[in-house]
Amino acid sequence: MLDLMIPPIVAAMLILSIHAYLGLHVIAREVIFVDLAFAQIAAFGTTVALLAGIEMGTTPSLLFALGATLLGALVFSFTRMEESAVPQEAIIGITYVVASAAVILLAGLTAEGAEHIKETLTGTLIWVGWPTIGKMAVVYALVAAFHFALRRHFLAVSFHPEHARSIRMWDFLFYVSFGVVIAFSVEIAGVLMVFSSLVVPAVIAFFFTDRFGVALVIAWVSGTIAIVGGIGASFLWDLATGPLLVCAFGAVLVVAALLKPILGVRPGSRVRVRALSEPPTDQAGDRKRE
Amino acid sequence: MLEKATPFRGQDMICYHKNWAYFEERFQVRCVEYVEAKPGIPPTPGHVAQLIKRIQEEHIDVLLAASYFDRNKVETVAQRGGARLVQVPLAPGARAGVDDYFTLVDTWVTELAAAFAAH
Repeated sequence: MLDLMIPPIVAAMLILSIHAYLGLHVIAREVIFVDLAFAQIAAFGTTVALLAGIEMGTTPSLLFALGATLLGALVFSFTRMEESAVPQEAIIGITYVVASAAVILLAGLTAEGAEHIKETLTGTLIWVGWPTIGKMAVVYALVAAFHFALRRHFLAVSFHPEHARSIRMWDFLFYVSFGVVIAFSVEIAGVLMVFSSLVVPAVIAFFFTDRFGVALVIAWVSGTIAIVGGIGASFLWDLATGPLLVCAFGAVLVVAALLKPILGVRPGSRVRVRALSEPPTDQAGDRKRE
Repeated sequence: MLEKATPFRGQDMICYHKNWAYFEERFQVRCVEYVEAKPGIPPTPGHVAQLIKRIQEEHIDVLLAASYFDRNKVETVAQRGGARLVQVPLAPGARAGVDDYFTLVDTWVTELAAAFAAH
C-alpha cells in the first residue's frame, strides 16, 4: 500500500516545485486562468492529432500539443494591453471557451470522442509511474534552468513591467515555457490539481509577504503540506486521490487565511524582487524600493 | 469464431470499465473486477491495492481496457499484479482496419486469445 503512495507524492511535489514559482508570476500578471486556457489549447492540439490518426500519449501527439501551445503563447504575448479597457483575462477566457468548443467539435468527428474529453479533468495521479516522472523531471528542470538563467528578464516583465525592455519577446518566452509545463502536468495530474498547485500556494505566499524570495519559500512549504496531507489522507481514508488533493489545497488556504490576522502581517501590494535591485543591472533595476 | 475463443473460455479477467457485458456472456469470459468501479470516478488507493492483490492471489492473466486510455496508466496495475494488458478499440473506426462491428469483435477475440494463450 505504501509503495503505491510514493510515486503520486513524488509526482505532485515535482509539479509543485515549478508551479508554485510560476504561480507567483501568474498572480502578479493577473492572468489567473491562463493555465486553464493552455490546458485546453494543448487538448486542442491532441484532438487535431487524433483526427490525423495519431494516438494519444505518443510523441507526434505531444508535438501537436506543443505546436498549439506555441500558438497560444503568441496570442497571449500580443494581447497584453496595459492601457486598454479590455483586461487580458477577457482574452484568456475567450481562448479557453473557443478552444474547448473546438475540442468538442473535433472530438465529435473521431471514433471515441466523448471518452477522450472525459479523461482530462480529474487526472490520474494515482497511476503515475517512474518513467513518466523521470520525463517530467527532465522537462521541468530544463524550464527551471531557462528561467533561472534569464531570471532578471522574466521577473522584470512579470513584477516590474515598467522597467522591462522588449516586453513582448520576454512575454512570449514566458508563455512558451509556461505552456510547455502545463501541457505536461495536465496530462498527468488533471486540470483541477494543476490549477490548485499553481494558484493556491502563490496566494498563500502573498498573504504573508511582498518579497519574492520569501514568497517562493512560503509557496513551496504550504504546497508541500497540502500534498503530503492530501495524498496521505486519501490513503488513510481510502478516498479518490486527485479530488481529495485539490480539497486539501483549499483547506490549507483556509487555515492560512485564518492565520493571517492572528500573526498580524500586512505585506505591501507591490512585490519586491531582490534579483532586480542588484547592481549591475542591464535594465534599470528597482533599487529605490529595497 | 467461438473456436478461436477457446483459450479464454471460462476464464476470469479484470476489466477497466463495464464495457463488455454482452461479449462476456457470448464468449463465456468473466470480468471479475473493474479498475474503475464507478465509471469516470478515479479509483481509491485501497481499491487499487486490493485489485493488485486479487490479480496475484487468483492468478488472473489479463487486464482488458479500451484503447482510449493512456497506456502508461493502465499498465501500472497490470504490471504490479503480473497480468498482461490487452488494450482494444471500443468502437469501429478507432483503429485503422477496424471499420465495422464484425472486425471489432474479431479484434477482441484474437487479442484476448493471444494474451491468454501466451500466459
